[in-house]
Amino acid sequence: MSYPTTIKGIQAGLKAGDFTAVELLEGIYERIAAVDGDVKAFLALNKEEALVEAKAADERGYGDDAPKLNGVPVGVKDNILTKGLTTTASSKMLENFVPTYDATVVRKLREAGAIIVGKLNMDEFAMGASSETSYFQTTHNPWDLNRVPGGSSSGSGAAVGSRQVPATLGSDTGGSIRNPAAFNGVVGMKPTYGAVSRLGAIAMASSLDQIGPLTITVEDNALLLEVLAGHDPMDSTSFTDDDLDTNYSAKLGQSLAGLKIAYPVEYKSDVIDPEIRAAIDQAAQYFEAQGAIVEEVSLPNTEHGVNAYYVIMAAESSVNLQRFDGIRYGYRSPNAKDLDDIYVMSRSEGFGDEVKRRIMLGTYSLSSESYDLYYKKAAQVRTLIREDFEKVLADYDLIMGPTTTTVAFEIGERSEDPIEMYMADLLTVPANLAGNPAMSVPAGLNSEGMPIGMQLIGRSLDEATLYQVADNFEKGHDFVDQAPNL
Amino acid sequence: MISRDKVQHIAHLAKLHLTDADLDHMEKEINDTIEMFEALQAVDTEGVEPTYYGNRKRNVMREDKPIDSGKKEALLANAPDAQDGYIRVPVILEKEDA
Repeated sequence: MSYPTTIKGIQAGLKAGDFTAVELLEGIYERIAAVDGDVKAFLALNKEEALVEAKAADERGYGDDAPKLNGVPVGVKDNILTKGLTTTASSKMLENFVPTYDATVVRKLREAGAIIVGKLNMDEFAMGASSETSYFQTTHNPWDLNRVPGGSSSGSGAAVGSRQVPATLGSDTGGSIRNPAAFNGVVGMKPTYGAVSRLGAIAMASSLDQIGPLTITVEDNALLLEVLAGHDPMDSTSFTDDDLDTNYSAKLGQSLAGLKIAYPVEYKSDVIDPEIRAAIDQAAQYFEAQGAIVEEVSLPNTEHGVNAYYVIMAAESSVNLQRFDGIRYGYRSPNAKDLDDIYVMSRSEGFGDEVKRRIMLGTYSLSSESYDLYYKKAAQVRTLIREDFEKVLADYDLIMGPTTTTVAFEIGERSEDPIEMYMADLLTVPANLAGNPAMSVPAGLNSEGMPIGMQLIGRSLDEATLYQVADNFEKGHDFVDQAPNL
Repeated sequence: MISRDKVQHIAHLAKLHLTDADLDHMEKEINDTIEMFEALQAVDTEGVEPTYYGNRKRNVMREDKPIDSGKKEALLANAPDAQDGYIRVPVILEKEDA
């Protein structure tokens, strides 16, 4: 039989007794066996444990007292620790690494009754926008197998886009949830920095990283974030529960009348593909027709975002990746003869080119001669970008624009040119630098049949308004019914 | 513009060994990227406080007390080489000849 593809649909079916969690899970593994040979989203499946968990979910039942995601299958990006299940960050460095604990988000999923289906491919250590830096495999875009799925949460986007699983976890440092959400025609949320615990996320740039959900529908996304968000005493940057209102579904269904939406002139620039601009212009007209007020504003420091981001991200990454020394865990070169060999040879053989490039850039920008020139300067520009958002969001409820400048590009098209690849992040990095919540929601297909993503950026901790607007937009269109032909 | 020697020095600081072929492309890519970063110098940041953190939470304190993770075996299983409850590494100090 065919099963519902959304969380809400699955929950209704489980509750009505149309199928069990075990049957659903078996159906999901059949779907993965049928399409993932082409898509290559999963690095590893968790069949044995997942079946045990599905049986347990069925035994708990689907009454009103059942946990919030009981029996719901979820895929997890492979930089998020899963106890006993190999977690590689798509790097040779961690090819055989088996975590001894669950990331807080994974623990919360399990406590909510969700079932971990498997681990998803990504760019190595989340460095890339295409999965091409993965040590293991390149994931293919389900809408056109010759194109990239975006990244770095490549498998997380492609697995939902190809309707293999209803939901996945990704991580977003400069757009790594929103970019693959846009390229695969799904919904992806980067929550406010500090809304979701980072404990157990393999760190890339600690002041920018956030974990978030990718789903087919907006309401599913809000539901999942309600499970993921919350204070964690093990992550000192996580907001306390006094600061957080995790009722992210609270505004779903409310009218958009009177909402003030800012559409920055910088998000309409010539670097953005004309078909994408047209789709976002149409979305603006749709919002006006719903009674919202859409006005042009300026975020004047947008153009400096990518540069500031790459300086800060590389600096923080170079420090975070110092822990990979070949001693306590991870790859150790079999040729190492002494201690310095262990460090140098293990790192040189264990890291891929893009990772090395960023370690080199970060080490350089933190060196005494260039610290003020690059790192401090970038941190000051970060302040200006944050202030741009604060000024606009003092007058407007949210900001709208495109998620990406182009639709998914061809595999191999940008992999030889790092700077061209960095430009994929142009529209997404500002929200990471500022810490604000930002999501990508499907905004139709272009003339080649490739998905276009609309980005909504909100006030700090105001994910609920983004979900309200995105849900209204989704229900006013038929984009959810569009799925790749696989 | 940074020199090939400088790139080599950065690699040394980062505990990376670059082959000559690595150096060829790394030198170009790093210089291209640094050239891109130069655009930041045009931004007027006079008197602007830098932002180093993702949000403006203050230091968070907790009691510093040891806990037994109970995971010694599992942790050692991830080590590339272990023996008798310790992580094994190659000889660090050579014995001096008598």
